[in-house]
Amino acid sequence: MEYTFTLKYQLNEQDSDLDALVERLGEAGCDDALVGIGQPGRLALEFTRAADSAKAAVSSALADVKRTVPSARLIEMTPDFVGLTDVAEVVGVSRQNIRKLMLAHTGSFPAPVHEGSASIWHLAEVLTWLDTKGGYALERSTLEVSRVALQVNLAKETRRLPATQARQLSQLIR
Amino acid sequence: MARQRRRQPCLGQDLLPHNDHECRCGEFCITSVWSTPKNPGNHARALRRVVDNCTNRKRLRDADPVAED
Repeated sequence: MEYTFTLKYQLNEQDSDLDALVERLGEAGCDDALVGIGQPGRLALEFTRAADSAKAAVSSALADVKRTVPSARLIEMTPDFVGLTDVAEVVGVSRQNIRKLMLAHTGSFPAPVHEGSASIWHLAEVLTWLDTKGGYALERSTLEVSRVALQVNLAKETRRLPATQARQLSQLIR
Repeated sequence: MARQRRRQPCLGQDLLPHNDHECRCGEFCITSVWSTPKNPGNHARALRRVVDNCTNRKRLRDADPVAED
């Protein structure tokens, strides 16, 4: 199957020759990705990668970039963090429709990652919830790739948590 | 196309013309255009997505549908 996902990186100051960087990525097998260099200090790759599973597609893409640009730090993999508008777009319904669903199922609808004027969810959790509920034609590849994106972003974030605090905190948080 | 380079495999870079302070396309305002992409159809669709998502282009299209499409 083909999986579409984006990897966003922060570039080191030594990676100033962006043209050469793009060429290297192409030679390294990333010619199934759009390489975006429109933001200073950023590198974004939108892959459409064929593989047996989303995990295999993403793992090989991460490895390709790491091998080619070792100093680049992963900022985020998409699709993962989403607002209701994004969810509606992925599912192919109106934002109002998703909002109504959320309000009608406040107890079981996935809890957001951030709640505020613009709330954010993990796409994988919302899609899995919709899938269990039934009645929505969800693309398998999107569901699969969003689950991997959640894992990649979590793995990246745990680097911020000191090991000594991890156990203590997890006992306090449900 | 604002910039073209002769070297392979990247044919050039597609610089969306409305790249200004209101632009929110971000990273893909400058994007690689491969001369020999792994899958030409996928590459074309990906480029198409970038152009279609350009906020300035959307705004222009909404204001005057004939001029942009």
